[in-house]
Amino acid sequence: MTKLLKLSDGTLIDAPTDDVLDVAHDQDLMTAAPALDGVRVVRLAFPKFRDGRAFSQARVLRTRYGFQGEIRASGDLLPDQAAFARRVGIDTVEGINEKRLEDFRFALDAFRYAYQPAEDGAPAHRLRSNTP
Amino acid sequence: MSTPVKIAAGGVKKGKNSGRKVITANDLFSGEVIYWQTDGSWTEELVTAAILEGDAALEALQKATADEARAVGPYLMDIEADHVPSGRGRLREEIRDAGPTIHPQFGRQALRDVH
Amino acid sequence: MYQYDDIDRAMVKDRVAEFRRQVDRRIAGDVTEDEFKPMRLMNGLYLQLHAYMLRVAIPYGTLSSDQLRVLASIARDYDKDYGHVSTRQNMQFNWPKLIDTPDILDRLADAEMHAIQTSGNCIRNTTTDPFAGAAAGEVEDPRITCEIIRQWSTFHPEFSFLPRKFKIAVSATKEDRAAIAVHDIGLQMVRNAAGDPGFQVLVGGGQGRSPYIAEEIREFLPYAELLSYLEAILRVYNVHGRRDNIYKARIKILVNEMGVEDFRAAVEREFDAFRTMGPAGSLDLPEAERARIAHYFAPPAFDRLPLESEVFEKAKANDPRFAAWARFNLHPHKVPGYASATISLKPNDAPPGDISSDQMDALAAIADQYGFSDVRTTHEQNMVLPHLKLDDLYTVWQDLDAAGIGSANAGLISDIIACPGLDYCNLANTRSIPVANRIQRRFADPARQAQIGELKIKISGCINACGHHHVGHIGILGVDKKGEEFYQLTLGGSADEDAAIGEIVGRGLSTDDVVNAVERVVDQYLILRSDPDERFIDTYRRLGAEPFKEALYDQAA
Repeated sequence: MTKLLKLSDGTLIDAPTDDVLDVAHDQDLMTAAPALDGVRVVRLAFPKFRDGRAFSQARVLRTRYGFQGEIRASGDLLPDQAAFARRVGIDTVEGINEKRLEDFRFALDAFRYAYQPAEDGAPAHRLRSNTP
Repeated sequence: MSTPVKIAAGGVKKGKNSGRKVITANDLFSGEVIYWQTDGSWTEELVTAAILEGDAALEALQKATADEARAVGPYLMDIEADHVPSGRGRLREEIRDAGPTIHPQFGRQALRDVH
Repeated sequence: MYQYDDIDRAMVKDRVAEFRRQVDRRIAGDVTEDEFKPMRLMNGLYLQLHAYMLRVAIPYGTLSSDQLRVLASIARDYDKDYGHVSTRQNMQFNWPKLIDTPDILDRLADAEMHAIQTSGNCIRNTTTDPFAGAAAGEVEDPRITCEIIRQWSTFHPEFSFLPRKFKIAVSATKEDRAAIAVHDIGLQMVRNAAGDPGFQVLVGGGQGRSPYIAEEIREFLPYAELLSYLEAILRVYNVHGRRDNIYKARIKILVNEMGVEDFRAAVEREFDAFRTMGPAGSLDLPEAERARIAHYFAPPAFDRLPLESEVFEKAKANDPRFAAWARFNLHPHKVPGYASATISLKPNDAPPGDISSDQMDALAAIADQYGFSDVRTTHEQNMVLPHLKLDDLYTVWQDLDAAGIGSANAGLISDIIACPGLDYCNLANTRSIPVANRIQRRFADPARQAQIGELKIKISGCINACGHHHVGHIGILGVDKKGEEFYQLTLGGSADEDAAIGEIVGRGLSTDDVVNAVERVVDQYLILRSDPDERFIDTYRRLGAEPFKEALYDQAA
């Protein structure tokens, strides 16, 4: 059974058997939404870890289309990209190399703060007091 | 050959696997220029590098490429029988071996000039 | 200048801890070199010909004297006692070891510095005018915008794996000293008819093998909406930029292939979407945070001084070497009685942009004593002391001169930009620095340099154009022909507010011929110029390339 890494807490879970909507890494979600009605899981692809298009796709799904379901990443996502993935609204990563589980978990906790508003946590400026 | 291998680097984009070759790379820890020897180890002395040709060069390069624990970015460079760099990458390889031409005090050229 | 709070400090410290662990994983064999490479690049660590090279970020070219001393200490303790100012206003160390790098980054973090995103396919160090905060006519100190961009772009979750690198530059004066037209995004601060501050936004400029002058995609962007507009541009680029061919992956190619109208429409559509999300979804900074950042760039406590300084005038009259330095290396200051000084890192026969540890320490001491501890790096590979009293200039110059950084050649023919070239660089086809040194030697006579006046020579050792040859008044591009070094001349390029890509003239020249060719072009200019105040670039614009080509061919035949 396929395992999923949950980016919220770094646990490894069995993938539910729901239907999944696959969105290709080169699909332009900015101009047209995928058919999201009744979809619980959208799966985004990282054909190579250097290909960062899915980061934008996740962001658009969350902010533009208000998608509330699970966004799952598949393919060649490095542990070191896990926090970015979580920040853009990706919930789970499919098929990770379990030898790298600790590296994923480290990456998820590596940074205490972030500068940008995103799908998780408050940006730095919201935490700052307004007087220098 | 199953794994693709590099037979040129840097400014010399298209290398051909013809003629005498030496495998060169940079040391993972120090970045120093290193050369492959017949026993599979690496040396900083170009004169002791293994000179290879044809399939033997490609086979050795596959082994060298697999040695990620020591070497970064191995490729085949052109060389004369007397271990002098040749071909399009001649100047590049002379500089890699000796050090920057603008800083004779740095690189291996500095050590060699002492003698 | 900006000072870190606990959040900024945590950010760089966490980054060092992350990188330390990444290095350990690489050494242990838990990641491949292919995977590790972008990790080290995004921490500024390259592997060059002889060694690793660490590029330390100097955000928008501003550093304190204490930070400069830390750079000196790094050069001393981990490198070969010198650093190199790059054309992105950063500082490069040419000989660090991989295993030392986390410790170097730790030392930087303690001094509120880092090497984050100085390489890799991400948003790089935003550059600006080295005279920021000192120059007359600024809409606002551009470093406020640069720092806002620095924080926004640092570890941006959506834009850290772009098709290719991404460079932003900001200018806040009519005169462009940040080369904004040859950047992925150029931001020109302006005021609209109502007097409100904002930006003219240029996009798609760049050098490399396909040079482009950036095109305007927005005439006026309200100041407060900068980040959402940048986010819109970056998203369109991230989604549509080419990933099939590294040479076609920059945003300039995308803008060119889509056409600027379609590109603009795509950006505006994204921008509108951000706007409709309302304040809750806004990517822009609240005014309080903008004000917090701006506060750090408040001007230092300038004295009220007369416009002219007797001490300064007397020293110029008595010391011709100082007079020459004062003539070429000073820039007018917005406050009476002050000037900004360019510290030339272009003495004859040294690599352009290099500065030794001792020189860094000397400069830091001078900045402490006379210049509000404020030091700048320039994209022309020099440094700047932005706020000096005219009364102090003679003493300052004597101290600089004693440290070997008092060359009186800013903007002159020997003030050459040169990439590291084949002496260091893994991508180079030819050497650059020795060509720069030969040209400096040919024109070593200070009187001749003064006679020639402003002339910007820029040299690149390969088509990637790190030496900005496309925008040199005289550009020199190294090309490899069957293992021999040849050099191609371009004329008429410019990186200022009248930015232009130089025209290629003639065939490749040998190492010896290229210096002769430059001299023939210069001699021709001296004959052709209408008066001694007409700069080389003005003469070229008036007459075009033809008369210069004639000079080249006549002599070469």
